[in-house]
Amino acid sequence: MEKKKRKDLVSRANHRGEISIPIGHFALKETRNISRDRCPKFIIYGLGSCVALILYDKKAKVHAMSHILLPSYQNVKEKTPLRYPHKYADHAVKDLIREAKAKGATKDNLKAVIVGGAKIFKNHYNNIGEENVKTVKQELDNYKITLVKEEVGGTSGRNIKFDTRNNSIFVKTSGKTEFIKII
Amino acid sequence: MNDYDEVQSDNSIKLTPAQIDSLMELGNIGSGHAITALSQLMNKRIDMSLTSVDLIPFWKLPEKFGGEEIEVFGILSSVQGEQNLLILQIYPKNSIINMINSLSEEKSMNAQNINILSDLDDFSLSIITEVGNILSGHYANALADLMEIKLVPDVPDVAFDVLGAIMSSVIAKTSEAVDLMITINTKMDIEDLNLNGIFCFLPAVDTLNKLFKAINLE
Repeated sequence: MEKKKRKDLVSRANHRGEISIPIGHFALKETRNISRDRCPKFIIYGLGSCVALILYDKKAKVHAMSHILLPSYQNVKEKTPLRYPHKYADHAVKDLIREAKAKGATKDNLKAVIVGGAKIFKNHYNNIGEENVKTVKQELDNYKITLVKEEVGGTSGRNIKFDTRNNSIFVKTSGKTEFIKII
Repeated sequence: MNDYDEVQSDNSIKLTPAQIDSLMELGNIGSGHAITALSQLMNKRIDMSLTSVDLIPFWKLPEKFGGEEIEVFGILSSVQGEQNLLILQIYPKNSIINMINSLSEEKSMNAQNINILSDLDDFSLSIITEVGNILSGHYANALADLMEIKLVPDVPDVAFDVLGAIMSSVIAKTSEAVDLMITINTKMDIEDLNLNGIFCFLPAVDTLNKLFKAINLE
């Protein structure tokens, strides 16, 4: 029986081959049998206090990206399945690793990159962005996934593009005109 | 699956027509008071739209305001206490520059020179904060009168960024425990000054029952 497609998995690309990931959603692609020009780009426009978590396995050609809103939700009862696990950093890390492994990635080869976690409203007493980053890093550490690059904090939003063709990542900060390659 | 199905399948929330009407009424009266205050401040006639009430999945909020990539000023006031309420004002960049120029002596600021919030001088920033403060204060006071409770909004926080970035802070504040959001939006427009904006009242869905109780509606 075919597995039911998840509602929070985005797979439809636009005419430029970009898959845009809304908050609380994720994208996943294995590109072993896909020609280079058909490999999608995962994108998020307007990343504020949210965090984009990217996982990739170069060897297995598995690429994954999650759009995380909050560090965690303590009150979720264990038995209630979350409709959008990628809303919460702790659930997102766990789920993205599991989904990447299901596509053939191995934990030893998985590398992580995180982008985002800005403080958009300056005077807010709590800093959700910072807490998001902290939780994602802790969870990656728990699962022993290597974090190879982070582009986090600050007070401006970011646009991010992850090219699954060669695992390169580009970031454009609000107020700037150009995307800059970070890895 | 359309929005409606999605909303319906989240069995935690359903709004009756009477509840929607009363939320719309809160929005009309709150924004009406705020817009009257702005009209006096700018000495201009202001057109306002009918208030719209929408129940949407949290991740669709940026779409509701035109898309993640649009650059806007966001002025956010939290109303703490019994309720968990936010009053958000959204203005296109040009509108805010026109507002500053209209309220200051120099009238010389050029929107093209403003790329991040810190490009604004202290005086301009204080104009925005003060206007934002007056308007959210009037909005909250009108709600407080209707609900016969005390509502004191915080001094607002001003941000200039793309909508996606601004909305993520709002979503984080109101949808931790639920996947749905309520937006109560009223658009306003001062044609003379090329100044338009949206007043958005966002009660957290999980505190709605308290809100309905306050206006004697269960």
